[in-house]
Formats: sequence, structure tokens, C-alpha cells
Amino acid sequence: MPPAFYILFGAALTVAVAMALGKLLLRALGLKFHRQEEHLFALVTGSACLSLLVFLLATIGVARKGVFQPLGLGIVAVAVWRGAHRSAGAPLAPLAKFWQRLFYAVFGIFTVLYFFNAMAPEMSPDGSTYHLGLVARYLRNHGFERITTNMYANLSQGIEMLYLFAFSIGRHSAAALVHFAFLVTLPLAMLAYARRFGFVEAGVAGALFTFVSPVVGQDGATAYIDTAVACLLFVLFYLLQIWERERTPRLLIPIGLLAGFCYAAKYTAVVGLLYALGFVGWKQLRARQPAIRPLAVVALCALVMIVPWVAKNWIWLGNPFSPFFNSLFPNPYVHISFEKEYVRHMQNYPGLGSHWEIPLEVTVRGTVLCGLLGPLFLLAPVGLLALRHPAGRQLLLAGGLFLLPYFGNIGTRFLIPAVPFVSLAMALVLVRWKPLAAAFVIAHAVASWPDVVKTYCDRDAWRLAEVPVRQALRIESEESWLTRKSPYYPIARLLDDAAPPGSRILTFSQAPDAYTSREILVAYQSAFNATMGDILWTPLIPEYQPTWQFSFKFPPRPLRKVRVVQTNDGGPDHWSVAELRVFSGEREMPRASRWRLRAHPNPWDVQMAFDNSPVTRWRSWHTLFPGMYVEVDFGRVETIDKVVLECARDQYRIQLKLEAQTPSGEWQALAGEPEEAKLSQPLGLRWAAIDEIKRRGITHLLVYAEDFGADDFRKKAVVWGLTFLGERNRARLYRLD
Amino acid sequence: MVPVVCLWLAGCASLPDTYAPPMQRRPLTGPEPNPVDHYVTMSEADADVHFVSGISDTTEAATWRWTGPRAELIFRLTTTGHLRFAMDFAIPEMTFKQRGPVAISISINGRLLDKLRYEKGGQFHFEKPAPFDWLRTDAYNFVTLEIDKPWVSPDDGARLGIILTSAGFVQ
Repeated sequence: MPPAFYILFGAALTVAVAMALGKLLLRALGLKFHRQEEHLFALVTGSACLSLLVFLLATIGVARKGVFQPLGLGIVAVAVWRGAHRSAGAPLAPLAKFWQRLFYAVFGIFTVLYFFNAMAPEMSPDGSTYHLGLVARYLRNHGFERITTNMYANLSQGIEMLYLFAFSIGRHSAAALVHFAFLVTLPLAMLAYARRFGFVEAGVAGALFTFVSPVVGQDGATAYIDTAVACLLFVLFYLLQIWERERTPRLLIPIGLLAGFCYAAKYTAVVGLLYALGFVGWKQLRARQPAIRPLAVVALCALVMIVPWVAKNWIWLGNPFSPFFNSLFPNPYVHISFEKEYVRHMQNYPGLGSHWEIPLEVTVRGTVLCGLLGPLFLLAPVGLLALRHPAGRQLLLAGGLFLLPYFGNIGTRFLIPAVPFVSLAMALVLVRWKPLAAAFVIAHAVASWPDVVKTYCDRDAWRLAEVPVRQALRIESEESWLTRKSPYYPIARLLDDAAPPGSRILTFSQAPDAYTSREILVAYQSAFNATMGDILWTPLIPEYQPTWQFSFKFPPRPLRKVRVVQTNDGGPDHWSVAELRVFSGEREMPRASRWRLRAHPNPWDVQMAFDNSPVTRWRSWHTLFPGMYVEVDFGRVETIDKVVLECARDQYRIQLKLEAQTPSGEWQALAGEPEEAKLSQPLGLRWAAIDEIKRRGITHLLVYAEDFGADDFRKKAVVWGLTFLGERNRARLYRLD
Repeated sequence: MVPVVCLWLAGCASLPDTYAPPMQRRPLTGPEPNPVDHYVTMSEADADVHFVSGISDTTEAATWRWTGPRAELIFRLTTTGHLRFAMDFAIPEMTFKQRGPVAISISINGRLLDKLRYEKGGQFHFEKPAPFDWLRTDAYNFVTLEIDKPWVSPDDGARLGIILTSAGFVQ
């Protein structure tokens, strides 16, 4: 069979199984919808069910094609046998001819554009790295495994579970086509909503405003998840609007499942659950009806979707919401400092001069914030006039709530969940002058076509550039296209060719996880990886080297424990200790096995201050606060007279004092200010650094030309103890000797 | 409710909060194994193991050293294939007033790799493939830099060649 067959079959089966599950669920609940709505709601609620099913299969270790395929075909067969494919609902209000033609013409043209892009070999930055990288890993392992070295594995991955189903049959492009299915579903759902609630023309215009928007198309035609999330949120909103009218209690079950699936798809989409609970509670209160029971139904159904992801993180990482909330749930897998830095980074993209540039960036330019909505959305404030319309108020309320997570990440695609609501609100205003609304639709469609977009956006804007028919149909091979176009793919080939199976490759930048079976550890993606990066940079950065000595001297005292306490407050420094040595007279006390070491914060790395290695250090991985400490419990009373710290110099603001526990158990301040001395720069650090990361299971190093220290690795490979294995696209692979 | 339950459950997770001392690493008493390698950067603490003659004992601004009219360096290679000799250096503009255009002859193991001529000062990067049959892995490789006209420092009369930042073999 040609590859294109498997791609289409993988995606089609995934969508069909989701629809079948959804139809069976809606039918079992006895819910009645209009004909067009049945399909849309079945796909979306069925996706939640399929995602949960795949999660369970991955949990018990049977996530494989040989299970998915027969199971999927069986589910479809049961749905057909039960007659679930037959629609019982009445059709929605018809469209006027003009608006019908306008909708299907624009929708059809852009569907073709998106379809071929989705089916073409997947090479989106996040799709070909972590979204599908993790999916591929789960498939190789036939299920989940405990991953502590990739924070993206800790995020909820409800949509990726659908991708896993499709990927098992049709690989990367099948997954992207599943996302494409949500992309196509979204405008159809928007139109159906408008038809049900009586503003058909606004529905057509609003649906097309969203659908042809360049960033929506770009995102939805790759293995990202934002457009799927937008679709979930919109359908949730839609179902809630129906519930408000009909007050069918059983409708709260798919509403709850969908609200929970929003969280399962993306943490930030938890706003969907908050909206659903708030909406149901408020409407019940206003109608003077009891709210507890309907709220409980929504919450419990949502929990069915949420708990698996929360439990997975709790059991494996000690933080149910990893990689966030690490201050509440301290754990060795994600540094608190990283979380803070990450959040700050997401709120301030490099290259953005000021937040006043955001409107132009997200509508016209498209490089700095990665994507553009199209110039039409400069008119988004017009949508506020829709507040005069009851539906407009509902749309703007939901859209405003779904917009809130955007302020945590200002990339353009994080606006997508709010775009359908803003689009419909704008359309509600514009259709007062119908020819004008139609003109806006046509102008927006023209301005969103790839050949036109490139005439006004930034050169490097994230957008679709062509209609890759030959590549989608695999007339040009995947290998050829990806080698030509993807910056990552050739690197993946290098990894597979030059690093044996089982290799663990440390790198400092994103790497092509989705196209290699080798394990890649990106320095910023976990605490462990960051520590490896810290070790590796120590030979290159003099300020990281232990050349600053603090000596606490005092008359010989019998003591049970000693503790060095940091007393200063504030950033940006972290406290670190390369070595803590205890002396009795001139003799350094050997570190006995009965000693017990403790540190706060980050207790898990305390051994690195007691290993005698100049390239490892205990770090607080937290900005300075009074009360940080490193402690030694001798396990018995020892007479000592000096405690020495060897520290790096990248912590200019630390202030230290020494405390000790006497034989009676009392803690006392000991010694005064420490004596400071400069130590000579240790030699042999490169070799020692490689030795340390080798001990921790790293076998290879992948260094991009732009990475810090790349030149040194290249020129001093022998001194590091590295063997150069090859170079692709300015990334060099070294083996640790 | 979910956060509360999770908070409670997460509190049950047990990770040790004290640790025994780890295995002790051997103290580092000298430079990395094989201090003479395939490339030298003047900022390295042990750069001088690569110098045979004609290179200043002093590192200036922690990054460069003067060569004399004839500088000789050694390199150790683990392979001879697909290597390029590379060098980062500078010639101060002010030296041209005294000595005029400068020619630098670069030889590897006694064979002339290239002769470079400069009529203006500046920072330069030189890189050229090194024939594999000129190189050896079983002994040191000698690289000689010969500057045809030295610059005589007006301060101390030292005969100086070029400012060398780094040199060696790269893949």
C-alpha cells in the first residue's frame, strides 16, 4: 500500500472511532440535536472518550497498532450495528443562497490548502519535537513510562492520545490530519451554533473569519493542539447555550466530560471547566433552582477526564500539576527557578520591544510572536459593539474568559481559543451591513492566502507558504522533502545513524525527538538536564568554577551537626556550594558513611557539595532567601575547629553564617564572619565534567553551532574526552569517550 | 476539591530528605589527560604545553599572545583524515608603518601549507585542509609560523610577529 493510504487510514480511523464513541454516548444519553449538530458533537465528545480510552491502554502498556486498529474497527462496527450513524435530528435552519455559496466557496478552497499541508510530512517546530516526540516514544514503549527528564511529558496530553492512535497507523502526518479534523470542525460548529440561535449571516462571516486566519490554518495543519483546544472550548460553549435553553439534565454529562477534556488537552484550557461550572451555577441560581446537583454532575464528569493526568503526575513526579506549582509541590524534577524563568520568558518574547507592539505583531507581522491572525483582527474592538446583542454578550463573556491564559503566554497561537468568539462578535456587528460583512469575508480570505500573506507579513512569520500536493501524496518522498525543508530532520538521521540504540543524548536546544528513537535530553527541560548543563558549562565559565573559599574558624568544639546558613534575600543569584569540608586541626575529616547531609531548598542534590568534584555543586536553584542551608550531621559527636566552603563566584550577594548543634542538642551560632580567599582555577575540568555526566548515563552530546561553548567543544574535543561523530545542519554530534 | 485532594496525596509521596556522602572523586592534580591536543586557545591555562618556541610567555587581555618572527607549536592528533588547519590571529595596523606588508608562511611538519600576504592590519581567520599524508597520529605534529618581517617594539626592542589567539586542527 502507498504511504498516503496509511496516513489517510490512520487519521480517518481515529476520527471515525471518535465519532462512533460520541454517537454511542449521545444516543445512550438520549440526547436530541439537529442533524448537523449530531456529527459535530459526536466527534468532539467522542474524542474525549477516545482520548481517555487510549490513556488507559497506554497505562496498561498495550498502546500499539495491533490493539488500536481492531479495537477501533470494532467500535465503529458496533456504532453502525446500533444504527448510530443514522441521523434522527431535524436539519438546522437553511442558509440563504448567497451566504451558502460564500461559505462553501471560501471554506472549500481553504480546506484544500489546509488538507495538503496537514498531510505533507510534519515538520512544525513543536510537532516534530515534543508533541509527536512523546507520542512516538509512547508507541515504542507500548505505553507510558516514567519520564522525569522532559517537562513536556508532564503536561496533560489529551489531544496527543488521539495522535497516538493515528500515529500508530499513519505516523506523523496522520496525527496532523487529526488536528486538521478539529480545524475543519471548528467553523462548522460556529456556523451550526449561529444557525440554531438565529444569526446565520453572522455565523458564516464569523466562522470564516476564524477559519481562514493564517495562524489558525498554520496551527491546525500541524501536530500542534491549539486549534483542537479552541474547538473543544467552542463546542463546550455551544452545548452550554443549548442547555440553558432546554435545561436537559443529561446534557450536563457531555458538558462535564468536555470541560474535563479541555484540561486534559491543555492545562490553560481549564478555563473551560471554570466557565462551565460558573455558567451552570449562575443560571441555576438565577432560575431559583438548586445548583448543587447539576454542578456535581459537571464536576464529576470533568474529573473522569482530569484525574488520570493529575494522578499520573502525582505518582511519578510528586507534583500533580507539573511542571508548574513547584513551590507548592517541591520535587527533584523541575527547578523552581526554571518555572519562574519560563513563565517570565513566555510573557516577554525576545524581539518584542514593548507590549504595545502586540496588536501589530499578532495581526500583521507574525515573526516575533510566531504567527499572525490577519489584518482583519485589527478591527477586533468592533466586536465590543456586540454587547448590545444577547448572544454577543455570551460570546464576549466566554471569549474574554478564554483569553485570560493568553497573558501567561503572549504567542499569537495562544489567542486561538478566543478567536472564534471574537470572530462571531465582530460578525454580529458587521452583518448589520450585509454587503460590508461579505466584503470583509472576501478581503480577509484574500489577505490570508499564502501568496498574499507574504506580501505584508514579516519574512520569517510562522505561516503556510504553499500547497504541497506532491509531498502530501508522497510523490516526492518524505525523506527528500524533510531533508530539503526541515532543519531538524537531517539531525535526527544523524542521531539514528551514529548513536546506537539506547543512547542518551544531551543537548542545549530543541531537538527532533519525533524522528529519532534515541533519547534526547534538552538542558532546560528538567532539573536533571539543567544540572548536566551546569556541569558541562563549569569548565567554560570561570565564574562557575570553585575559586572562592570561605573558612569558618573557631576554637575546637565537640559538635553533633554543623550547618552553613545563607542569610541574604533577593535575586538574581542562586546560592551554590561546590564543596563543604570539615576540619579538625589541619586534617580534613573524611566524609564517613554515617554522616547525613541535608540542604534546603533542593535537598536532592546535596551530595554534589560533598563529592570532591570541582565541576559539580549543590545549587539552590532558587533566588536567595534567608534560611537556605547546607547541613552535615556527623552521626556522633566530633571535635572540629574549621568548616570550609568552596564556592563559585556567580553568587555575588550571598551572606553566610555558621550554626552548629552541640552534644546537648542545642543550636548555636558559631564563628563570626568567614575568612575569604581566592583559590586557583582548577585544571582538568573538561575531562572531569564529561566524566560526571557520563556517570549520570549521558552517552552523547549534540551541540548546535549557536550553542554556548560550541567552538570549544569543536576545537578541544580531545581534551573534553569527546569523539566527533558527524555534523548536520550546523549541529555536531559527539560521543563521550 | 481537586487541588486539595492532590495536595493531600502529594504530601504522601516520600523522597528522602537526608543523604549519605557520595562516592568521592579523585582530586584533580593536573591538567586534562593528553594536555597536548589538536587545538590550542591562548586563553587556556595550560596553553603553553603546545609551544615549542617563539611564543610569548605572557597572555595579553587573557586571550592572545605575541609570536616572534618564527613560532613553533605542537599538536597531537587522533586521526589524520578530513582535518583543516585553522588559526585566528591579528596584525595591528600600527605595525605596518614600520615594516610594510607582511607575509606569513605556515608549515606543517616541515611542508609549506600556505603563504599569506597582508597589506593592512585587522583580525583574520585562516582555515585550509591539511593533507592527511602530512600528518601523523603516533607523534607530535609541528606547525611553524614564519613572519618575513618582524615588528620591533619601540618600547623594549622585542622582535614580534603576529598576535595569535588560537591555532590547531579542526574537522
